[in-house]
Amino acid sequence: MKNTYYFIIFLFGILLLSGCKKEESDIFGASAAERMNKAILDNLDLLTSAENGWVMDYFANNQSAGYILLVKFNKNGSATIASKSELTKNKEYEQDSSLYEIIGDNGPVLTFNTFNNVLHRFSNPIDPEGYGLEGDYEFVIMKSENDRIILKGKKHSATVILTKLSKNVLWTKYIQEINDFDSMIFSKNTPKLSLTIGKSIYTFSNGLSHIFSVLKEGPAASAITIPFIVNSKGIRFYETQEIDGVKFQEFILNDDRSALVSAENPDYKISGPTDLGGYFTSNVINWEFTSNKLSVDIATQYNAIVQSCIDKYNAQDVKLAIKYNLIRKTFVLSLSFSEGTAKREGNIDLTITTNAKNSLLIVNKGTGDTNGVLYKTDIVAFGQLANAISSGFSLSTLALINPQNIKLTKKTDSNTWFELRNSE
Amino acid sequence: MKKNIINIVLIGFVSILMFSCSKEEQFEDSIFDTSQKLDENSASHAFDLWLKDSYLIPYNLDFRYRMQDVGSDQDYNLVPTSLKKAEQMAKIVKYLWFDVYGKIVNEEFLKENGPRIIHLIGSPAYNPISGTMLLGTAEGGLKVTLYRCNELDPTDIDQLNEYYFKTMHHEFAHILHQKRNYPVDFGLISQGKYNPLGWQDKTDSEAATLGFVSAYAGSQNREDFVEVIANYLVKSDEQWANILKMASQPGVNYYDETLPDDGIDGKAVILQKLSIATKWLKDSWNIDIVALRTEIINREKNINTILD
Repeated sequence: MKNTYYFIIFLFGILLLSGCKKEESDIFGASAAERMNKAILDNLDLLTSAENGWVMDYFANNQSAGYILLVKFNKNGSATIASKSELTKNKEYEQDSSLYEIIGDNGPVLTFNTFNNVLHRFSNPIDPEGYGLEGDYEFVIMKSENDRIILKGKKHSATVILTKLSKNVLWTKYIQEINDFDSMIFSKNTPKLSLTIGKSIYTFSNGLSHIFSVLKEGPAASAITIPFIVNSKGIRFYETQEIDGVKFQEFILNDDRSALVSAENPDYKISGPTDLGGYFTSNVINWEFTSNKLSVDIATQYNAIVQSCIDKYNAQDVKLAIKYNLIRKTFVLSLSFSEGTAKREGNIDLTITTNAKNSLLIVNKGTGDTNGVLYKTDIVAFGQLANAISSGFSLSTLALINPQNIKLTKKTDSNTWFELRNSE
Repeated sequence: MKKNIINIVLIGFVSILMFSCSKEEQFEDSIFDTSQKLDENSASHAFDLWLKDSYLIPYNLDFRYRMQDVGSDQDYNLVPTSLKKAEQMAKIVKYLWFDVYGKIVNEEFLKENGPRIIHLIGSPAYNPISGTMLLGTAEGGLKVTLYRCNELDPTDIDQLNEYYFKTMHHEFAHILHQKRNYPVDFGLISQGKYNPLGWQDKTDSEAATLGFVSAYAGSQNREDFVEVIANYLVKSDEQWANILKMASQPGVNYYDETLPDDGIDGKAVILQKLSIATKWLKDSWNIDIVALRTEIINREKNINTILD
């Protein structure tokens, strides 16, 4: 009996020891629910700690263009979101407030769970009907650092990055500067950009859509698409791309604005044509005079032409341009305007040649089409302007990577200059 | 002494078991936590408090205006409702649905038979392949989901009825007939005329000539039953008369072609269905559908009084 009793006590002790051992195997020190709650609170603190909000690099999905959004998380559970793009109302700066939460799901999930005009534009199935842009408004928080949070869209899986915005930056100004920067690099007339790796040349087109179409020059090449986002310094591919063994993701616009230089491999750059003269040798050019960017002498002639057109032809929408006339097969100085419902145009023939880098030689041939000859007689300043631009010019522009405006300065007299705008 | 120790261990163990049983057997008044204090600093505090006082406590109903992705149909691309539209919708639903039943039937009716969750979705649930969109769903009599809430226009009564209240009465009628079956005779009236896959290809005019109050009513028997109730409740006298008029005339298809006589007296069929539904509501639920409809129409005239 006594042995049996000791045996029971011994067995009981063994069971207790076994129990203690199991408890020690809890390596986290807190339950899953406690850890989830802590993660939610920590992330809430981090999100609301940004006094001026966060810059959100938003991609709806891994095949769509990137957009910059600004997001301010308030402690009362509201979030203010702003942007300006072709997707915002009237393509202008748009700002809206709605509610957000961090909920426990498969990890902490940031959800914008009431409608926000700016953010939910990417996921609203109304346009195109039934699908929308297939973006997310619920994001798994993948990584949180003091100034940077990496999110992953819950349904469409795109990576979205939040970067803390500096305190003293005005939202409208920041957004406008990004838009201006974007327009400076990409427009509907952006030339084909290229990246050279060894002997291979890759052309980058469709930059305006923020989804590059990249084609290797040579036979049997097929294009690949690379979504990217424009930020305050340059562009960032949606994800790292390996081209001919070289990895790329970030590109920064260089100081002379001639190229986007790889941040990872600065020896490589995406650039456009380096000689501005090349923009005047194509037979599809149409460069309009910019009325408020002319030297005094050119402005005098320009204004006299406009006034004469109004006086003599009751003209509206008067335009002067240097373009290539496909019928006459020559470059021309073109004068066009509306007379009632009729469109009028007259041309004086020019010869344009490039004799050095960023240089142009324009010569007035003295001939023209019927209207051109008529207008030269009727409007004295038209012939005078043709003579004034018959000279050698130096070419310059704001951003060589995408010259939307080119300034022509007379080589023999720097006080004579005019700016042309790409209207093709 | 040794025996006492063993007894204490046993008593403790039994006590724990009893305590556990005791907790499991004690049911709360509500399936939702009504004791939780709302955050006074929250941007949505005033609305949350109104919802608690207007739905959660009296009706044991969780009015979910913050979209829960996991609680929605993952097959669709959807977006949440705006806070403003959610506030308007919550007030209108209370005024034109809950308060109507409270007055015409009794205060307890929706507490006992109403849904436990109303979930608002901002966008429609499109089915791009079939070219249709879902306006609402009722899941097991517990949850009603209303879509397209961001398009809510409180000044447009016809739109309110077509897109929301017809849907609510439609879904609620499903809840009621899932609890108490409607007469089998109803299903015999249009037997052989239902078309579950091609109903959307028929105009309302074609449907009416066959004896259906809407094209969707022609999809299947149970949809037909709830569509009769929902349409009768939300249509004005003029609109209801128009349905009966369409039902009396030859159908016109989507190409504006007048179809040959189908040999069915559509008006008589619709009125027969309404008669069965009216009797079922009275006998099974003690609901006077005419009184309910009159109250709804009267309230619709004053809807702006409940909105800020």
